[in-house]
Amino acid sequence: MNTGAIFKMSEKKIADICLIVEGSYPYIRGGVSSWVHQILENYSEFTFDLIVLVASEDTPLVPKYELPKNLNKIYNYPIRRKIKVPIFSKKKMKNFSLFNKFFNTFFKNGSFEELSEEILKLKDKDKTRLLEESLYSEQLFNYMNDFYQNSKELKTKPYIDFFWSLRSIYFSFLSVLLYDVPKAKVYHTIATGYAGLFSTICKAKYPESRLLITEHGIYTRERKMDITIADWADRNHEEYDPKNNISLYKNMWEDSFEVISNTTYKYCDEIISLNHKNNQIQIAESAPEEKVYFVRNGINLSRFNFKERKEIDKKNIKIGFLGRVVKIKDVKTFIKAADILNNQYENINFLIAGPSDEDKDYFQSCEDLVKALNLENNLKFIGMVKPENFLQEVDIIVLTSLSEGQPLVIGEANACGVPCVVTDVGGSAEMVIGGAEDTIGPSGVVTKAVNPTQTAKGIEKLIEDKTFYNRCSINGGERVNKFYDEKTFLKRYREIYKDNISKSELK
Amino acid sequence: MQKKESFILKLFDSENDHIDEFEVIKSILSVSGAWIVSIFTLLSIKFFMVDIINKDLLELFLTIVIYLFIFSMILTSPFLNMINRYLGDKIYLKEYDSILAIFISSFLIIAPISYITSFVYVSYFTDLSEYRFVISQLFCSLSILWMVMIFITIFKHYAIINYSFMLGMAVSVLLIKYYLHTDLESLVNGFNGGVLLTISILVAKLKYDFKFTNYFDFSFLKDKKYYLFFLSGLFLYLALWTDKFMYWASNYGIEVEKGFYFFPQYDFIIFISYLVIIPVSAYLTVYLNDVFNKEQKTYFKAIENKKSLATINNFARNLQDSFYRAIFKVTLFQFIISLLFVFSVQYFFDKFNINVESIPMLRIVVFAITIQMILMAIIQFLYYFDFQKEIFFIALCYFILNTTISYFMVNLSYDYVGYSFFISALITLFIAFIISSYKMERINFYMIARNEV
Repeated sequence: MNTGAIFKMSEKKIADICLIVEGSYPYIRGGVSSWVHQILENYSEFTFDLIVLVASEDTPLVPKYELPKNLNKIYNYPIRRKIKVPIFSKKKMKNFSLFNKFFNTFFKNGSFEELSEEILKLKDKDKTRLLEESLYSEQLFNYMNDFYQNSKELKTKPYIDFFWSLRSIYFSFLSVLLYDVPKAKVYHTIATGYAGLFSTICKAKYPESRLLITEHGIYTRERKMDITIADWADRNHEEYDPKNNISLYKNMWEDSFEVISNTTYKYCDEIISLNHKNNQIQIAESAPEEKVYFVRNGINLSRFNFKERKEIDKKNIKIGFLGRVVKIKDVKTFIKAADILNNQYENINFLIAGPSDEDKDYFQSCEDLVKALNLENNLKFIGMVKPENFLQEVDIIVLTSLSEGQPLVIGEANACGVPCVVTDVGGSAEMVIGGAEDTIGPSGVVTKAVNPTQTAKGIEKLIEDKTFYNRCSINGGERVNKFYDEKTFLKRYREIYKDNISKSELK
Repeated sequence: MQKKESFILKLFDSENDHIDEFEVIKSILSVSGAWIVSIFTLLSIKFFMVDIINKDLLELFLTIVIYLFIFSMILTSPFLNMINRYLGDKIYLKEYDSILAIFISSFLIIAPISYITSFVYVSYFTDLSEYRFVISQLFCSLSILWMVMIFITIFKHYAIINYSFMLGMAVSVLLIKYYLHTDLESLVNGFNGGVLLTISILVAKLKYDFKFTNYFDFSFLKDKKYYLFFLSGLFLYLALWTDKFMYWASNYGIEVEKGFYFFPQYDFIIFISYLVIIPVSAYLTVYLNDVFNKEQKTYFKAIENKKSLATINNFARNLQDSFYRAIFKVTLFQFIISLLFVFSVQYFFDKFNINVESIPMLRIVVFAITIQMILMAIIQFLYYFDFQKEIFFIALCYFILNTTISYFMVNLSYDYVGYSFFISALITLFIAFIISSYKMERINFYMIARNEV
């Protein structure tokens, strides 16, 4: 069966660590990608395989990072496979019992063990056949219709939404589960979701191996966010409550991702997050408490020069945004906040730095918004920059994301002494106002997400309150030195890998 | 105006699919007008110019014209089937700017192929090589005429087709009667003059309706999905003619001129028998464009507009009922017309002094064409749902059956002529009905689940 393109960089039979990522490294730049690259680059003593679950077979596979030598192989597995409509429809499925188990696992609280056992017995030709039949067999179509009609909740709802949602869910899950599993001593998934799903089948195939997860954000929450972003990102909402805006079928997605999340937690030997807050969420979402801990991400402090900021020169105010121009970063909230401030200050400029080629439609809509608000003279998209240089030039860094893990940009801004205005998502708040053992004090302002007024007020506070601005600058430097130093981070992961490789019974 | 009541027209009325009689008569004339005009033109040349044209020359001329009609359709139908679908796709996407580009591209494919084919055949397989240029020009003109008609028909501009045909054919007749009746070249040129006039009017209509943005669009040759349309068109037309070709090549066939074979009795019967399907063809066109199209749109809108499965199922049932009702009515109506024709045929045979021995042959041919009409109706419905593979399969079955059965029956006695056509049409109809019923019963599955991911 087609297992996607495989880049072979070395012929070593079994990797020490097999990293499993979804739609990021090495093809898309961003926080998680940088994190993976950091891991690969700094542990030359370990060999790695990399499984990349890419969106589809059409996803361009051009690495955006220089691939380290200790990376043995890259397996590119498309989540959405293309299956041609067969000439003749199959009335009955050959593996209907397996599909039934699959359905029970994800939609009726069935057991994943029984399912994985059967999947691992399948031969390649059976896998291809199963995928084809899962889309184009009449028996399955009728089964789905029965499922719809037997549900009091579903049967009066739009059928076509049900059909496509259910089919997209099960087909993508099934596609991922049927890929070949490379052998490794330790599997390390960087999220639950599709990567987590694949990691569970890895662990099921090689139970003697070790399975780790490092969650940068909480996948199920991010998916909920993704689902609602389409609606939210383009609207001018001051309050944000996704729960009330998720339809029945969106719930189907969430529920099934929750099943994956729970299964991944169950199969993992160690569950890592980036901060204490996320550990609590993981535990609340079924992660066994004894497996859970956090390791903060680290920043290479030697790259950044700390400069204590005293006050902002009102004759030349520079507000920066450093990140990808994509929906999840909610750049439009930043632009709307810029519009508010532009009416208050005469000499204020806004710089948006970061790649804009990932979601061209969204970038275009941001440019259109800038034009509509007549901000062309004050707000510029400046593309890719070196963070260490860019941060020296701005007075404040703003992060309006809808979802984050532990954003590097905050740490980098702290390292340069630049105060931040960030939304209260993921680990952002903890990096700005502290938490757990971090009692240093604020290094910026935390606001609600999708709230341009609050973002503008946060920036205004830093501009107007010199003492607060200076305090934030100093606190940021202290925080990053104490809690977010790359050396601490690398030391911790070296220990984790060594420990798990030694515990793995796969040789 | 008080509505006339007649049994046949009452068939058109029901609670769900009302088509009034005026609409039917209008549609018979509009949809089949071109054919009626062509048939009357050839008949008028045959019967009213005997006095001014040498009998052998007239016979040869009509033979050539009928040959060119048949083979231009066979040659172009695969391309036209493909182009027709491509045009349909462009219209669906509202890409009207590419219509003229498709027209020019189609012209550049069909014109040279038809000209060269005809030129080679006339030059090397007949004794008419001195007329190879004029005959090939007429063959090419007819091929282009079928092509232009596809472009006009898809926009349902039947009136312009009818008027241009009437004018063109009238010009052909007048040219032949008053100027060009002395030799074969003149006759062919005279007929071609009318055809070219018809083409010019239709092309002018196209040019008037659409604008040029590109000059060429050969995309349909690159997309594999259109190849199946080509093959379906090819086999369907070959299936319609294979038994006739085999009779031409048999002991029944006579060589009118070297390279031009005929089985006069059978060919004439086939020719007049096709008249019986004109009213039902028109009814079917109106039914498909009006009643069934609405049912189909309602069904697809129910899916698109996010209705529940129960609602979608209701519309699917309406669609199935509409299909079965149409097939039933086509069958009933066609059989009534065919029976009336068969029982009144003695009168026509006496009128035209045709050999009485041919009556049994005419009856079986009329029933074969009746069956074929129902078969074509089913194929039309399958086209509506884009069941391309199934149409190809049916066309292939029909071709194989007609060829095989004709092969075994072609040397039987005169009493059996036409039976191979009838039997193959009947078996193919049975296959087509099973396939279409199977598909219609599972319409949700085919329309929803079999979309490519």
